[in-house]
Amino acid sequence: MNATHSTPTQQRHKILIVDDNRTVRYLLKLTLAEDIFQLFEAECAEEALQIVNQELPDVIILDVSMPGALNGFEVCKIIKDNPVSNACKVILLTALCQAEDIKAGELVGADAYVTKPFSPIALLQQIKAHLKLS
Amino acid sequence: MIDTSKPNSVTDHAKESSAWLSLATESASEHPWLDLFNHMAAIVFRLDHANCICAVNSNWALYTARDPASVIGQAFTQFIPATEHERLNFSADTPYLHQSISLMGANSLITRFALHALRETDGLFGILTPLSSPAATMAPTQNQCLHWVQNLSEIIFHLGADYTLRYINPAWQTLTGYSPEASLGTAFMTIVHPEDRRQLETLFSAANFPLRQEIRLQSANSAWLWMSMRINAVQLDTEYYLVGTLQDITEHKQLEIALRKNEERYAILAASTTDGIWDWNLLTQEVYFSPRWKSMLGYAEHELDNTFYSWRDRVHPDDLALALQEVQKCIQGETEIYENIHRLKHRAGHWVWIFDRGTVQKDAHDNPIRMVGSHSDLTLLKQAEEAAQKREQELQAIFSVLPDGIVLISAQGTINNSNPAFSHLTGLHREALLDLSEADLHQALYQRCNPEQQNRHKKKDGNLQFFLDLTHLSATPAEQQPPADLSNPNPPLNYRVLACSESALAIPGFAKLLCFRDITSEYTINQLKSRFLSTAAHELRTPMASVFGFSELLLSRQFDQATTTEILQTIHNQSASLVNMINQLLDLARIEAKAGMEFNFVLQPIKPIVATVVRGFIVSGDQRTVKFSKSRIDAWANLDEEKIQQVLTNVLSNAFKYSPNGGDINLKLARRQNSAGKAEVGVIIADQGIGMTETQLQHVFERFWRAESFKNIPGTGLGMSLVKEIMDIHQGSIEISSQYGKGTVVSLWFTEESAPL
Repeated sequence: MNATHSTPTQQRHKILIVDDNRTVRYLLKLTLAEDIFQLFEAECAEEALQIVNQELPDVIILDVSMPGALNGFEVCKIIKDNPVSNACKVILLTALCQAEDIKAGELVGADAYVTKPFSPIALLQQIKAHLKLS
Repeated sequence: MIDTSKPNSVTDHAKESSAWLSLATESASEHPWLDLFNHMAAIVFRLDHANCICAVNSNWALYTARDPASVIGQAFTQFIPATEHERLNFSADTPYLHQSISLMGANSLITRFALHALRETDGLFGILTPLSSPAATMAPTQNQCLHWVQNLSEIIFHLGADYTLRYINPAWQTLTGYSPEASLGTAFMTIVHPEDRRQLETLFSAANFPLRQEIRLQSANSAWLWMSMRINAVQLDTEYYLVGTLQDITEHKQLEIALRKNEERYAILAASTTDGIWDWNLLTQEVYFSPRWKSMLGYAEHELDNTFYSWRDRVHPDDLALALQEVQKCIQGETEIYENIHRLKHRAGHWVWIFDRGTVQKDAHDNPIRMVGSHSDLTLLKQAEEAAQKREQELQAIFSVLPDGIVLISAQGTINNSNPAFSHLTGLHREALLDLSEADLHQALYQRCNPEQQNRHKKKDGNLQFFLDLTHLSATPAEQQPPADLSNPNPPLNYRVLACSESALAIPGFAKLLCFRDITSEYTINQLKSRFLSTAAHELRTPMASVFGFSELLLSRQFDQATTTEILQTIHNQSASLVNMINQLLDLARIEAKAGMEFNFVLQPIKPIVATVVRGFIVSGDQRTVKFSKSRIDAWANLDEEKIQQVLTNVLSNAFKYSPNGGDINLKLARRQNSAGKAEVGVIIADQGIGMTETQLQHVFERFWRAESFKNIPGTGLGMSLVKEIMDIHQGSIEISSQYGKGTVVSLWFTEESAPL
């Protein structure tokens, strides 16, 4: 659980980055390195759910293939099934790009499904759109 | 006519001698009234003192049909029936006799007379007055004759000199159908068969009577009747008559003709070229063999004796007992027809298949005397039958050993047969399937299917696929196990995939053939390939995401120098990882596709290869070197040098990578005997790194598999797959032992070969 603190303020939007790949997390942190975001990161499902419960992030960028008992689809379902957390916007970011994978993402209530490799700039705009930011 | 001719002759004779006969022993002077006596209707006779006839008038002949001259000197009593002797009192003291008496004539002709006799000094004088006239005496006889003639079943006829019918009895109409009115006065010859007529006319003109001839007469309904004719010529007064009888022998004649035809047929049979005929005299043991019988066995007619043994000694030993038994049964009357198929030895040494048939003939006392039969050569038939049997056996064998399951559906739509492979593949046994319908069969198969796969039965081409759940099948023999995973020996599959195709059969009684092919291997490989491809694509996407993402950030934003350098370094590392991954994928693909064909095996010592790799092995940023223990082992093996270098490089790289906290990397050579007693040489590489858990160790050869604890160590998950593949093609083995947190030991074993001299 590493939070990046640039500007300590409540107005900042909480964004949780979940990916077992350090390089990908670094890429996402670099992309979202703006004052309006407060970033959290997790490298497995258990860690991610802990942060969700504690911080109730506005947006969760969620990998699917992860080590551990739960994969991204299952994590998404837990978040969306829980009334406390189901307002969180979940963006699945994964190398799985088969039609059945995308279908599975819809079924667990993900708000967006982004396949790797992805455009960091486009992802940033998508996040801002979800947060109704210009 | 013979029967009636004698009375006629007597009558003729009597008529001829109608005048008084003068008796030689009596002079007319002694009996001046003898002439008178001769004209009386009575018999006048004289007996001497011994009661012998010394004179008799000619009337004697009239009543007795005996020549009066022949009876002179004969005892009178011998012409009297014995029953009347007592009543006849011829004693000398009886002066006068007056009584009735019977007189026996020729042909048992008996006539009753009244006897008046006077005793004389030296004999007896008597007069026999018939109690009926001579005509009346004859009348019953003639009537009798007429009666007989009228009732005879034979025809009696008289022909005039011109062969016209003068007399016919009723049998004529009965037999020929012609009425007497229509026939009397007509020429007899007109109804005689033309062929017989000429012969008959010749015989008649030769006048060689009596004669006997078989002739054909045309009956009133135009049928030809066979008649046995006896005919004689009789002279009455001055005229000649032909008197004859006709006996109907048509039935007998037809039988005779039929018999003759049989004989002709027999003769034709005996001469025929297809069957051999034998005719065995059971009393003499002599056998007639037809020429064909002998030629069937390769002998000329004179080359085989006509004895029973010519046959018996040539019967195949395996067939003889039964053949003899059948013959015996027929002779003893247990069977009407003898039939047996046996082999006879041909002169050339081979066996000829014979169908032997025969019947027994018996004498009047029902004793078997003769046996007749035929031989048919069945060799060609038998050969065809044997060929068909052999072919059927072959087909049955193929049917039994076919790896594909076969089910035959009859024309009625029921299961007629299934082969062992089908039972083996499905666990459904033949006995339980017979007479089930095809739908029943499908139902039985569905019950054995994995329910999750139910919707996948129907394929696009219309053929069915069955995903059998093997956990329900008792027997799953080892050889039927699907091939191992491309990278790792998986646990045995718990399913079997059968593809069912059907073919119409052009065999009477059969509708179609269902073929169940085990496509588990193909199915599994396809599944693996598709999974491999998606995994490969997935694994390539992750480093690609970094390259793509970071470069986009660099292009769209300004970063300080340090960040820029870090980003570029990341892009470089990820690109290197991509290149590495692609290379290893290509290596794997190439090895698999060519199945080791591109390997260049050379018998060589292993140590120089190891030394070369170790010498040049440096990992950037790592100060360590491989510690190669000095070894005296100079083992040779068949190796592809380049591939072994790749194996050693991969294993050594892992040793360095997964021991980030240092520790020695040791390499040594070793020798051992494997379980089969073969000498092996091993390369053993040990590190003191992070090691693997038992579970992790199980996945080490899976493609793209990477332990969670290795996540921060770059890798493709393909290195050990490649090592395994290369070792397999070398027919070597790879053993890994590892302790989590302590380190890993990888042993590569090769079959040791003796060094060339």
